[in-house]
Amino acid sequence: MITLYAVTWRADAPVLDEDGLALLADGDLAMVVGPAQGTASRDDALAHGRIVEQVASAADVLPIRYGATAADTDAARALLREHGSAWAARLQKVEGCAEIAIRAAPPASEAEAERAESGAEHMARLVSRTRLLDGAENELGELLTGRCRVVRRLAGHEELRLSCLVERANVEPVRSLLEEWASARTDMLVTVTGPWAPYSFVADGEDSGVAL
Amino acid sequence: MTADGPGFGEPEPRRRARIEADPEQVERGLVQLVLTLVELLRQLMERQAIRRVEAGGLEDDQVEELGRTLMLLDEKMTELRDHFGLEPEDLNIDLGPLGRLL
Amino acid sequence: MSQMSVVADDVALVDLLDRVIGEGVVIGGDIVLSIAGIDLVYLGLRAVLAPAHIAGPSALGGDALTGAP
Repeated sequence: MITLYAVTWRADAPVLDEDGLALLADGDLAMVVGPAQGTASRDDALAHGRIVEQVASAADVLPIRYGATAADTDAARALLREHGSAWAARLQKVEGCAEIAIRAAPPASEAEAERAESGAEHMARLVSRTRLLDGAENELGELLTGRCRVVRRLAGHEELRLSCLVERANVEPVRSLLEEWASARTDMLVTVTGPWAPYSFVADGEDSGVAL
Repeated sequence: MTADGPGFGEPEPRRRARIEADPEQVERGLVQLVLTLVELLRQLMERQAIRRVEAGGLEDDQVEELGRTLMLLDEKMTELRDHFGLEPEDLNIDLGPLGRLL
Repeated sequence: MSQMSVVADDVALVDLLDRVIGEGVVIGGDIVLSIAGIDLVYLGLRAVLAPAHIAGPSALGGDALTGAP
């Protein structure tokens, strides 16, 4: 049983410093694999992420979701063969890019912690929250046009979560821009993280967001 | 570096990775799953209601009714969560295609 | 700015965890909960990562991310 971490271009031949990691190749693609981890745990998931980020620092990658395994190296190579053209296409889509993540939410206010006095007031709060988040999404969309390839809104109920696919050269300018926007929006709590490997732009049959 | 040397990933029948768990942990996991599904439905309904209200055309008493129902659901959900000692983040399990609805 | 410094704080850990569990290419190899070797139900990964909220350095001590003791 082996653990699957990421798919890369064979030609990029990323250097794997971590003990036990190996690169399996088939055609134009390669897969970073390692020994099976015994138990699922938060630390294990974070270690998985650390390995993906390490590979991503020197090569284009398709991050593989945590928990993926194959019986052995032959099975892993079979996966590369089976999905080869689909994965190559996706690698091309994210070529030279990293992901920047934004989370924005209204701060928990004392007033809101109190139970609404009527159904109408409760609805008003919900509508107001939705408008705040949707408004922020539109503002960010406009801000990011021309600066990133794709923007995708991720699932999130009481907060706005956006992921941007940004070319490496644009990562710092986009981060600065977002941080500037964040400090101007005193009505929201905003965090900007990244650059990450492009996790949110590689899944199967995913609505891959809005191309800008 | 390739992985073709002996001793690496010996062929074996395909097995799912397993986590041996004690019954308490399992119960917690099942409760988590059930409550996550309930929370998913609650959020879907809330989202629909918000859209409806924003679209306009509802009578005041209809808005009031919607709001009260949603408030009640929200409170019940919090009670259930507290009862089982779960945080809001615990109900955020990836439900695959269902999860995308959120 | 190095890749690693970005993931050094709690806020970034939450985002990394979200990505690693919730995004990325999905390949089979589900993690299944079982008791005494009997598969019960596929709960999704987050269900078996407890606690859901960041608790700081791992119970084993040290920083899970950098591998520092």
